[in-house]
Amino acid sequence: MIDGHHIEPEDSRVTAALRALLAPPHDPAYWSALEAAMLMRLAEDEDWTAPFARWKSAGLIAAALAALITGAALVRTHEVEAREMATLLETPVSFTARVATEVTEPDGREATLRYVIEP
Amino acid sequence: MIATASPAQRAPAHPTVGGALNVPDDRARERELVLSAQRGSREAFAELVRAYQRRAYAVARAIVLDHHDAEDAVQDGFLHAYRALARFRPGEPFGAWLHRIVANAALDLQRRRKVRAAGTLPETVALPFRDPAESDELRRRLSAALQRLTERQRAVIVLHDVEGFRHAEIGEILEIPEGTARSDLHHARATLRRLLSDTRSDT
Repeated sequence: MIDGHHIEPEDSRVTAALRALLAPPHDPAYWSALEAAMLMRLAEDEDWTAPFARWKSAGLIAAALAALITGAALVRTHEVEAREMATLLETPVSFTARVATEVTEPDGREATLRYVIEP
Repeated sequence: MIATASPAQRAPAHPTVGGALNVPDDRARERELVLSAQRGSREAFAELVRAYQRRAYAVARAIVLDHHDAEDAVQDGFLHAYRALARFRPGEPFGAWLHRIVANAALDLQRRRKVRAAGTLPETVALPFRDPAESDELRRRLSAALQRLTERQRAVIVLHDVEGFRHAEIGEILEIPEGTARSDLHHARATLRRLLSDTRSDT
């Protein structure tokens, strides 16, 4: 039994053949060479991405500045809109009432007055 | 340097996952190396490469079978791991994380090279058989039989039989349940047994 499995004699032979066929190389020089190749690839990758890393920093700073400017503009717009709304709410009430008064009083007395005033 | 033993070589009493280190001091050393590598130390990462490249190769080879493809997958895997190092949590077993990355790199490579003719294994590994004729015949038959397995069954039997990974570890590397790894191993064994005996009775 290996790892909870029953092993047939034929399986042992297959396992031995698999190990012979696919086992990692034993030579330490092979691993040193592979390690060197990998580290060289890492270095190349870093060299290649280094300019992008600088761009990334510059991009992040630019994005932060843009966000600040946009935020400030939004706050300013909001304040202006609030002021305009306040003005709008305060001033037009009497004007509207006056227009309404003028429109809703078409009586004979006013008509007579106009007739007298007009040349 | 971290002393790592192949799962096939280590004592079965050590219940580690992912073929990671067994000695607590080595775990502490591994954590230290990971933290240094995360802070940008190339030397620390080089030491992690030295500690794990052999098992990473075994994981890749179990999937792609071809020696040169396995080398490429290991390099791709380490490169991905290096780029993703900032996302790795140092408390986790580094080996399990790395093996998953290497397995994914090997699977990607396998997909990209699917067009390659099946049934050819390279002559890069010297076989320890005494009779060259018998060695070649067994290699040929085994190579042909391995190609008849599914990709996952092949990976499971090679990881288990060649490198001695446990079902739970294989499940973690290939991102499948432990029970699936167990069942794949059973089916792979049965298929290889049948195919090799068929071939023998043919000759």
